Amino acid sequence: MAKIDLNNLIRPKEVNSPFSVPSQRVDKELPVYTDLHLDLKIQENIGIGNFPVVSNDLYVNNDIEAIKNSLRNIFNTRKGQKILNPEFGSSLEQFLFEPINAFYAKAIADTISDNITQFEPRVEVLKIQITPQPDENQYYVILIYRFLEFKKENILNIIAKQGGEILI
Amino acid sequence: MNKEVSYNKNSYITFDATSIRDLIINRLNQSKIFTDQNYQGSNMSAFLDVISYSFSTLLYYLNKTSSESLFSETQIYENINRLVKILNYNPVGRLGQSVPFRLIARANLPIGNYVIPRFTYMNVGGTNYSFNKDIQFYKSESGEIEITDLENKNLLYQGLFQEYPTYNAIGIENETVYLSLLESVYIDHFNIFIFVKESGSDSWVEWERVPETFLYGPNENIFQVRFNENKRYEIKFGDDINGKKLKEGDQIAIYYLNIDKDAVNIGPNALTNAKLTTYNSLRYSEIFDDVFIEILGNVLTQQNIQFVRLNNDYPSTFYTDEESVDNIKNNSAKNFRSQYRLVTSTDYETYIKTNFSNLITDVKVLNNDDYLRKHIKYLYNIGLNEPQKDDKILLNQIKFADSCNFNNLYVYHVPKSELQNYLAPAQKELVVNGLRNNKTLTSEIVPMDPVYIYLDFYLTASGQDATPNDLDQCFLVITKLPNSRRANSAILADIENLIKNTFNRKTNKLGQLIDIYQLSTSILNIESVARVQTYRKDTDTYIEGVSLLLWNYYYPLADSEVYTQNIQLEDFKYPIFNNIGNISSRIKINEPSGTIKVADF
Repeated sequence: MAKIDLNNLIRPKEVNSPFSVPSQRVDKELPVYTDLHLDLKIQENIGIGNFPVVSNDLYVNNDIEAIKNSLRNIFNTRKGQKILNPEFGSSLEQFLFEPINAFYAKAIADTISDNITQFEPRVEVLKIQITPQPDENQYYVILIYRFLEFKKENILNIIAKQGGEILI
Repeated sequence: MNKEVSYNKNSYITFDATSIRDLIINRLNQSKIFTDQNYQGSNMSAFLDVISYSFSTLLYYLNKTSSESLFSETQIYENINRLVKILNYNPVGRLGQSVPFRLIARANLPIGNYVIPRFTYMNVGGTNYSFNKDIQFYKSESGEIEITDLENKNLLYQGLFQEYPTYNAIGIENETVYLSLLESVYIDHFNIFIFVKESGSDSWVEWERVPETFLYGPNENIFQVRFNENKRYEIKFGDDINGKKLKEGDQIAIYYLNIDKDAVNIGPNALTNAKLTTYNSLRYSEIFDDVFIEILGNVLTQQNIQFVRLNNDYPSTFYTDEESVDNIKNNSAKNFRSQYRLVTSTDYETYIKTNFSNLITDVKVLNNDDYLRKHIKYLYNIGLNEPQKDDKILLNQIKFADSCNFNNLYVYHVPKSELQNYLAPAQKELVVNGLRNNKTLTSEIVPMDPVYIYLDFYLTASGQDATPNDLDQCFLVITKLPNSRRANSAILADIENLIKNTFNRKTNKLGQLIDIYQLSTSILNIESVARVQTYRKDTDTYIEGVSLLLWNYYYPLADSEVYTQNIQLEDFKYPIFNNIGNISSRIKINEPSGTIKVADF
């Protein structure tokens, strides 16, 4: 019988550090959300004080950063792009060949709101402000949202250019 | 949290992209290191999708491009066995040795009718042999006599019959009993017997084994045996549509012949001093009283069975392993096509090869027309104007049937045992009986023995007829490459192996193509061989390549011919290389020098 040992997935923790002294141990607050960093870079050091422990573990994004990853991915992904979930993603690009006006700005706002509700339950949309910029062939979107777990608000600026490019 | 999850080695094949992704997510959730695998927008989710999809794609190509070489022999057997079940093909399991026998009744046994009860056995030098049916005979004279009626018409089977614990039926349709025995227990495929005592009945009834239940009606006492993918036996009963259904509480008694695959073969006359022992058990006695009551004659007991002794003129056949994967592939399709009805010659040949693989190495079936055009014509061609009057004809085992021959099917078979040139009458009868239920109604099976054609290196002397009498003058001459440092003995061994493999008794076929070109080419391909010639010493002549004499052993003057080109034997002829064990004495190896005169052709 083959065995899958999930212990390999556990990163070394501060309490296991050879340099840590139990009496001096500091219980750090554990993150609520943990995601991989997109470029899969190696975490150079973890640990406490002046005794960092070199780890070969992957760098991770925690909590708010993790949620921001998710939001970015939602708006940077077109429907059908995600291999095993073709429904995932925003359809903002569908508007980019339409006239830049207030009507389509409203439609874009609705789409953003729907996408976030559907794919990112960890945030609540508070306000979406869309400014059509016909001279630059783009919309400027200001998304104000709240991280439900952390009771914090944040702003995401999105520039949706005519031609399909979305800058976040 | 359980961090160690056990899976079978090949569990990966059960996953597709979505299920492997879900499994990883599940495991990550259990480990509680990462959380965002649960959110579609996370980087983790994207990575998991890519990994899972790649896995699925690779698995797809693995399945598409995988070949049997990636699987173990057992896995391949399992797969093919399961596959052919769809075609209603039952692969043949192991077959033990068998031996035809003669029966001699001693003087102590009074005149009368007697029966040797089935499952009676004898021990021959540590190996047991059993009867699989009741042997009935009549002793007509006082004194010791041989029972000629039985002469070589029955077979003894290697092994001892064993009782399987009584099975109580549940009463479902197509109820199946799995014989759960140790892996080391080998069962003779054709020696499984079933007796059923129906609930509410006081007596045991023997049920008949059939190849397929669907061929039978609702009230027939039949069962089907299947050698399954785990190399175990399944016994399937009917459903009251095809074959009678077992009722709840029916008792099933199963007897199987437990064979020993490593048992030593016995030679002729080995049975002479062996003592017979009757089979004995409480259940068997009960069954015997119910089932065998109709038999006429005195059943021999342990006391008076000693007044009977056996002898054997033929050696025992060999143990045969279960049908190989290649054979199953080949036979299952043919079996499906014929649906247990034997019509074409291929149907007959496949059926015989499958079911009598322990007796026969090759078989050909000819109809009467082919028989007349080929075999009888051959006999006339070699000068036998009245073949039935020729005393040597018996050596070629020609059967002259009655006046109505047009429906005869002539079955030529070559025995598997190299110690045996022809099948014993009991073995022929076994084949004929085996075909009886499936053959075309109007066909009559006539078992035939092949005409053995001997081969040897030969070159005709100018102006003389070819004859095997001067074989000792002819040799195969090999010339080595000029700079070769290879030992002559090594070249000789290679050629010897090549010829032994080419004319192997196990792989030779009736109606074989004697491929002289291929033989010459293969010899030339041997390292350090520059030239192959057939040489005649008394006339000092040679010919390039291999030249063979083919002759009928019993009519060497009438049928001997030299061939330097490929020759296709007729279907009733079987090739045997003359004195192949001593082939090295027929080959000479020359250093690259000297000249030899060219023969005239």
